[in-house]
Amino acid sequence: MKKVKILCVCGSGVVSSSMVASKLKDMLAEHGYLTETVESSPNSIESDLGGNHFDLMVCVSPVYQEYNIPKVSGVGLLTGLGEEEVIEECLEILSKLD
Amino acid sequence: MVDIFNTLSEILSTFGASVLVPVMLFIIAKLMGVNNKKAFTSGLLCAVGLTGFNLVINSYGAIISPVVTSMSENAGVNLPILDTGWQSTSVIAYSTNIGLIFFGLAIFIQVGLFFLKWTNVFMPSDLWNNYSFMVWGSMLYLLTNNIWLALLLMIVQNLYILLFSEVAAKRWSTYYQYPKCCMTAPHHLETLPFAVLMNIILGKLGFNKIKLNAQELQKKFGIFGEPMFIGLLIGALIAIIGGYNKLGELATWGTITTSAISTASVMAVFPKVAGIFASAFTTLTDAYKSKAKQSGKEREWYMSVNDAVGYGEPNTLVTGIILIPIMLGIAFILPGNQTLPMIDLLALPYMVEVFVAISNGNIAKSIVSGVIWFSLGLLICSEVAPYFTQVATQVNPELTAGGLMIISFGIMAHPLIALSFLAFLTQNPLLIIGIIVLYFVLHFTFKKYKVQIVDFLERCNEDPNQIKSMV
Repeated sequence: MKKVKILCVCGSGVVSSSMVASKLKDMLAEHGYLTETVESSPNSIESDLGGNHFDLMVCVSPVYQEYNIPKVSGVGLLTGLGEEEVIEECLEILSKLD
Repeated sequence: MVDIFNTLSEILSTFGASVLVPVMLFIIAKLMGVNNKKAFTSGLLCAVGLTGFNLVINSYGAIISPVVTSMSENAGVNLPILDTGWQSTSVIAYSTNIGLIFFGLAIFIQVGLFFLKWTNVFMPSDLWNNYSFMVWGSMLYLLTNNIWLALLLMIVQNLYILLFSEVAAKRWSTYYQYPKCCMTAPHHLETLPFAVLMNIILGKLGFNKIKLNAQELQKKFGIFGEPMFIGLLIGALIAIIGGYNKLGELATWGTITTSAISTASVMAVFPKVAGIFASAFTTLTDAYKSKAKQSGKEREWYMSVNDAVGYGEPNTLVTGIILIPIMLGIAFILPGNQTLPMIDLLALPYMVEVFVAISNGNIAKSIVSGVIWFSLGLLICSEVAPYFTQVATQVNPELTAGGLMIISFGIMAHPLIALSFLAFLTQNPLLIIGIIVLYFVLHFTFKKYKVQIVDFLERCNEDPNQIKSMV
């Protein structure tokens, strides 16, 4: 399994982000990724990034600033209506790593 | 028979919520077809979250309680009700028996009303936010000991909220740009009638011409929006007020720094603890989304999403952040208020979502509406905090919070939903029937004039002078 680290962003880093995180872990595991997640909120992204390396951030709350990490909208995971699309977008970014 | 009840109540008091709620959660998860490993993890996460919540609130309460007391003794600022945030409300609500009964019932009601086409809003996709009903119901049950009345209150509240969210669905969906999605969080949707009224009044007063640039403001605020930083400031502020006549003494500065750092810590740590608790429920709340997909094909419908998806929108975030110091200031000077808003100050950007969507992103309108509504809300919080605290200590006998009363500003500072609670509390059948009849009148009026009403909300902010790019 390849290890990846994803920052999940919602309003407070509590409910939706953990929902998205558990889905990402499950669905990316099917594609051979071992996913570590950190839950965050739009106002705490900077301190959560700190010195840590993240491969990707998946946002369910709009994040307008740029942080030099690929950004994916995770709303599809939240509604359940566009799960495959979100996962495909993540996979495309992850496949370009290393 | 009496023996069985005695044994049962002995078991309940021996193990407490941190054991019983996870067990119930495990059973519910199994009934919903979740596998053993996930169901067990779910139960364990719940127990850990519940206990972690106690640890944080108790140790923080012990530190902050003397600060709050000295604020009252030295400065005459009497704010003995501590706002421990929506996270704590969710923990409390999900740990009450009546809350869990309603949680199960709500799934049936919400799924049923959608499939019967009573509503076009599929609410079970945001089951999480049902805790808002559950806490009002638990308080009513505590005070009246009438389980049917408490269940009826939660159902009636749910019906009103469904109606409000259907009225606002298109507006919310267009404004936040999530096609076919709406919001159903009860504590936000209850502001709808007031938001619509204020939008019209403020529009007549010329507020449509006031334009504030959210992106610019957001840059200026920078660090101020960060939870830790807000905690640091509030913690320092209340300790300074509490010791204003002793600022020359070194000990006072010890208190100020301790208060500041521990408030900053709570702001940073609390979401993590709450996240543990929340993830216990997310597995469950996920199960219903696929059901809506199949039925919704041939009609116009909206899927409810968590209010988080609107949080970061610039006008929403800026309105909320501007309201943080304003609401804190009002708490100090508002006559009759005893609530010290704290953790839920960070939730203000959620709380203004309806105002922002209805006014089509007008920050000035949203601030004025928010100030009025949430000031009334502070008084409501002060009124219901004793009941809220009692419910909290009932499910959490270990909870002390340093002897302070607790409340959630974000969930409870809502006058209209509180009004329904107070009406049911009178137990006056005429009043209760009146509220139910009013619902049906509003519901059928809305169904009849749906096109006109929805269209009005879409167009009421149109102004030739308005800058389109702000939307």
